[in-house]
Amino acid sequence: MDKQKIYVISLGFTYLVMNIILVIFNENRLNVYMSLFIIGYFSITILFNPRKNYIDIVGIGLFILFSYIIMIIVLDYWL
Amino acid sequence: MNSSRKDKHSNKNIDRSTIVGLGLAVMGVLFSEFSYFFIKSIPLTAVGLSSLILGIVITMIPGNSIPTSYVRSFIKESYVNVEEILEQFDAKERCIFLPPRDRRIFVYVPIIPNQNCTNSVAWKAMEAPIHVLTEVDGKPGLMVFLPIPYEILSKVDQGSMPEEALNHILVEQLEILESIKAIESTNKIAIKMSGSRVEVEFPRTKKVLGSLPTCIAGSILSYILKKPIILLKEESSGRDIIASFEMLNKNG
Repeated sequence: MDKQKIYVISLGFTYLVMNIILVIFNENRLNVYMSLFIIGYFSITILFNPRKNYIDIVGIGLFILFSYIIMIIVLDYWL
Repeated sequence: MNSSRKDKHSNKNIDRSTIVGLGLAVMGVLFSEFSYFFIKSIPLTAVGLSSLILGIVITMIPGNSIPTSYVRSFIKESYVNVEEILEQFDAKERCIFLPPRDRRIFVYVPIIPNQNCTNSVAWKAMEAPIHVLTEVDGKPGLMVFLPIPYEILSKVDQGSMPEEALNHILVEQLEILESIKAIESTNKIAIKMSGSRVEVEFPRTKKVLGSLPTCIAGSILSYILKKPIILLKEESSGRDIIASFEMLNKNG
């Protein structure tokens, strides 16, 4: 099977597993879900290193989102 | 008639994976918004967001890409012609990699045995007529066209660093090697290529042009350095190859 297809399937499967585990643990904080999705995305992408048509918009967007989540948590802790 | 052919071609560019990706992304946005604002369920919102991420990823990935193993097979089998030409002319001398001309990648192979190819001969070969059998400095030689598409070389800029260019094409694009390291000295470049995934079992081609990764590396170097390059030495050990090249300067 094509490496790109394996990458997409792996990413989808990872998200599915993460969602199921978090639901089992009754997690209701959206930032926890997003943080795990971001870590999952970067891990799978580094593992497979797929070819892309364009610059990694998803990676950039998720990185900015992750930075925002961390900033909110740090500010909450300080204030 | 020409415009209808163009329309068919442009429609093929929006392939199935793009449509699926966009559909998944749109569905993800709608589902997550609905789940967050109406149902007020975080897990369902997360499902929508993961669908959105997957949809965008699917859109970004090239659809209908030819498996790399097929590309490697194509390149490998296309060296049959090169082997036949070298056999036909009984070429035994090491080739000189020349910068591409008219988007064609070729090497100059002297036919006369023990012909000492000086720098001036190599630079004259750059101007010689591009025929299979040509003449440089009054001596016959071969211009062997390599089965390497110009589009692959043009993925790097002329003037870029050798190791960076070699890594980008041989490791990242063609996936022929696992890793590559290059060391430059005055006029020489030594390259260590690790984990070669393809090999051409044509003895004459290997003797004259070097192994397949070495041959492509030589073409890349002559393209980025805009100079003739000669392969000095090549040593293989399992899947690792060490090759040293010399840059033939005009006033050398």
